Amino acid sequence: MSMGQGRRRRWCGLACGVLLALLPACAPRPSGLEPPRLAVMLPPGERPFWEPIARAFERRHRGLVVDLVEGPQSTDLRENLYAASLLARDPTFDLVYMDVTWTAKFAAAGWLLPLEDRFAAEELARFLPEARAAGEYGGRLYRVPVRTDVGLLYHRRDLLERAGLAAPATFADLERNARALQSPPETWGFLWQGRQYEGLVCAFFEVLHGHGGFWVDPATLVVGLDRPEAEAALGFLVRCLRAQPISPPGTTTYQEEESRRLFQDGRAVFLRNWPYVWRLAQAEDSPVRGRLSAGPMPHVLGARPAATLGGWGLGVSAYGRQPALAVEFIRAATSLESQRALCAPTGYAPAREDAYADPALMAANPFLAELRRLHAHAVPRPALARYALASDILQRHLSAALAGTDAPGRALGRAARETRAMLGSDVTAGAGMDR
Amino acid sequence: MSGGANARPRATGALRALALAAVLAWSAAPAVWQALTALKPDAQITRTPTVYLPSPPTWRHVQALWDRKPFGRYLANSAAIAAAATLLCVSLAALAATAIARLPGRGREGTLLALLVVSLFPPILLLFPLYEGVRALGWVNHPLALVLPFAALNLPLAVWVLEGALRALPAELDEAGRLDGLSALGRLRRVHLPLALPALATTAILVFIFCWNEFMLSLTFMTRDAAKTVTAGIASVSGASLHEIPWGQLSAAIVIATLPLVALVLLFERRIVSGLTRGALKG
Amino acid sequence: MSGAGLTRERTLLLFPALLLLALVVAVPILRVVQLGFHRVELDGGIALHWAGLEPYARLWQDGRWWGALRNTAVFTGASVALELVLGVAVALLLHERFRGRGLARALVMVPWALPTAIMALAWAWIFNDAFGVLNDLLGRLGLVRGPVAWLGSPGTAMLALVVADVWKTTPFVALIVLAGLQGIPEPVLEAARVDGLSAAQRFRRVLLPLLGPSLLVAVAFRAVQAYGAFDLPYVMTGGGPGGATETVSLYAYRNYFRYLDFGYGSAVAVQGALLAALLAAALMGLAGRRGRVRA
Repeated sequence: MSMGQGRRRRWCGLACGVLLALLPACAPRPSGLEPPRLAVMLPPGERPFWEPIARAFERRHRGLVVDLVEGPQSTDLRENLYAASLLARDPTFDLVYMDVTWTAKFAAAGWLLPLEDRFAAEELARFLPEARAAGEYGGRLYRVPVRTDVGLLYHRRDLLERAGLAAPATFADLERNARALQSPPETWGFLWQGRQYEGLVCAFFEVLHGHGGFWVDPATLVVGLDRPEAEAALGFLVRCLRAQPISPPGTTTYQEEESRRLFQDGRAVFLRNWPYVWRLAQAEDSPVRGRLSAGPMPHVLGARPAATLGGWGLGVSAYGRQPALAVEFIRAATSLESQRALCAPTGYAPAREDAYADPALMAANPFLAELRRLHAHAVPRPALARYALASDILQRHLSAALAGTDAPGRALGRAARETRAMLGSDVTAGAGMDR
Repeated sequence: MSGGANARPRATGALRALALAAVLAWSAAPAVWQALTALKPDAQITRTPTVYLPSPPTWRHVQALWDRKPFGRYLANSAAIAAAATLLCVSLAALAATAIARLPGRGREGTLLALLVVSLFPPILLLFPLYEGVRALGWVNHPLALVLPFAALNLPLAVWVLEGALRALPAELDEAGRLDGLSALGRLRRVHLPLALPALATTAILVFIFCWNEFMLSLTFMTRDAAKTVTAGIASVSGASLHEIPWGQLSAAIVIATLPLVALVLLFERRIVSGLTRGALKG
Repeated sequence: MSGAGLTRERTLLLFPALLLLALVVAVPILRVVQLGFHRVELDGGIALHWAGLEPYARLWQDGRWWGALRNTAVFTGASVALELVLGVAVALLLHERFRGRGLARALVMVPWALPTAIMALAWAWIFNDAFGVLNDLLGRLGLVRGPVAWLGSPGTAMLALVVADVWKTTPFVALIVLAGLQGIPEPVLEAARVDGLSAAQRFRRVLLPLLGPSLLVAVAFRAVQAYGAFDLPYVMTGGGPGGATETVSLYAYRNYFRYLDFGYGSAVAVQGALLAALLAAALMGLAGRRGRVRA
């Protein structure tokens, strides 16, 4: 059995080798020997542009290490990672880089420190009012905005000019122009995001407010989804897809990227999307370079155009070990220099007013002037602690109506009922989640 | 069923070859598509009508991938964690399977069913309590945080496969071993395992691949770059803008992450065959 | 081993595996079950308030839960059935000895080797109506008139999910059945051939019964895995359109991490697991009875 013994010895050796390799990892980590750290999780594409900000901060605070943790690309995944960490009261992340829609949820769960007394009033007044307001919940400030976003309507200026048409101001104009200028399936009229996800809510939100409707009033918790304006809004979107469509049938699967790529390939007249499209569409190899204009989404007569407010900002974790330093970092990250460092190379819209007057930034991104104007139309989504559930309810029913499995009126009725039940259960249970 | 001189060798042979070709094409097509995408310049990736062959092929995506992230480190982490978990899982499963194989009908069926039921809790939902535990032990970013759950989550499958193989072995061999004075462990090692090698290899491959490709736990438990596995690394491949999906780099990452697995399968595949021939010679 | 039941020897052999399972899987499951009986509030920490069977009563009324259950059943049933047939066919093909068999086997394993979460992204792109390669191919072959929005309508979205899942997991079934095939001694098959049975008869009367255990393993675990499928629907369709592809695990996950409703999410998980366990027990009882009758 010598061969068997030899093999056995080899396997034993292999097993021991693996275990030995793992042994150092099993040793308890020495605590207190690490330098003080400030950690924040950032989207991977954005992280490189935060490097100069982090290094400058390190230079001013000798001995401190700013750890820019790279998270996954998907916003949802990053939200869940933060949630998992904060639920477990993990001090891993001192700062939370958060989307507008996370503020209420994280604040209501008690994961963030209130910041309004850590910043002077004039410091906070420097930010765009809509952006700053999006960081508030229950009257307190939990998130300082770093960059902001608004939904826009892009149009092919060349196609409109050639036909002698002006940019559409009303939904009727949009439909008419789209129908006149499109030639499906090579060129479509109006592209937007119709897949069942948050982007659909954003797109619908603008159409809803453009029709004079509303979703949920956060103060009174009144739900406006089953009112005639909402039905008209959803009706418009459904019309875009049904008889004589101006949007491709695949719209119900599109997110930002699919719609952008189609538009950038020159295959549509109008596109509803975020400001990031502009920079990419003006790239060297873009077929629509120099042929675009951007403006607010249309509205009905009597209502005002609306742009869904997006954007990212920093909050302070309630479980971090250096809250004072974290606040300092926020101050540094929202200085004019930092805004320049972040927004000039990327085309992001800064959250500070004075950044829009900064010559360096404006030279790098002339489109920012237009964005500042459009930002006046920004409308925030309702700041509910259970916004995620409200959004999912709306998404599902909108998607059902768009896919044709439910009539728009009935879908909205269901959505309204479920939303009311959700809000009502909070109030009656006294859980205090929605103040 | 091989090589017999039958009435219609040619027709069945051709049909079989055709079926095989179809299966291989079906299996490999999306993977080949990924490989092609990894080599295409950006402009050709999303062109319509679809561009099939990259012209000219570019290594830029692979390069960008390696430059921006410590992909080598991710691969090493994945390999170490998967190897440790596989070793642990298969060892424990072999021990348990030996015991279960000799249990009487009811006990055996009950145990196997219980193991199956344990698998009915999708790992995704155990994420939260596991994270609580990992956090309490201070094991965030520690390989053990993944090795133990991976081994445990694959135990039911490993036990089922190995138990099936061990039960199929004739009892006379067992008796002979016992008469030779071997303990249960000794019989396991000298008699059962060599004959159950195909099952062992199968289980090991399946467990290893599971560990290598596991996504949610790896993403949640490993936050530091130095500790990340290859799937977490792929998830953070990004384009220039927030919404952009960098197909070139992503495809390159997928191909790089999968090549070690394919190589492993090729390696293990021969072991299955060699185990079979050894068994045939003995029996 | 002589003697029935749990001898000390056997207990010792079972112990390490059971310990690992207990610590790493059973304890978290118990925690989930516990959470399912409570209403959870977050106010800096996790506060549990006893709610008894109230979450389960709520579940009964929840249309979204029933939808998720239905979707999961459809997805699991269709996937497993297709994988079984294809997996056995592939295993039979690869059991023959031919040149390049090793390479063929490795190639067949490729779908299983690719990470689901990332491939789901690729599949979504493949099924894309405007840019997808599938529509391009079908169009070139003249099989469709215009671009089909596969993921845009409930029926085809489920179909796309099933296709992606079958593609990925057929190798799993094939590998297990192959291991089972290799365990069948040559003399048995020779005897059948000598007896003059045709290939189809050999398959049905000899192979299939001998493959019984392998098939059971493959079906059982594929069913369990399909039931718990998360990565694929999460990334490929997000549960849409209109919630037509939302599975039980997706719904539970959303309740956990998106809505922070741990109590309800746990109830969803427990309820789903209970129903699936009942089904599994019933199927195993059926298989056991059939096996015993035949023997």
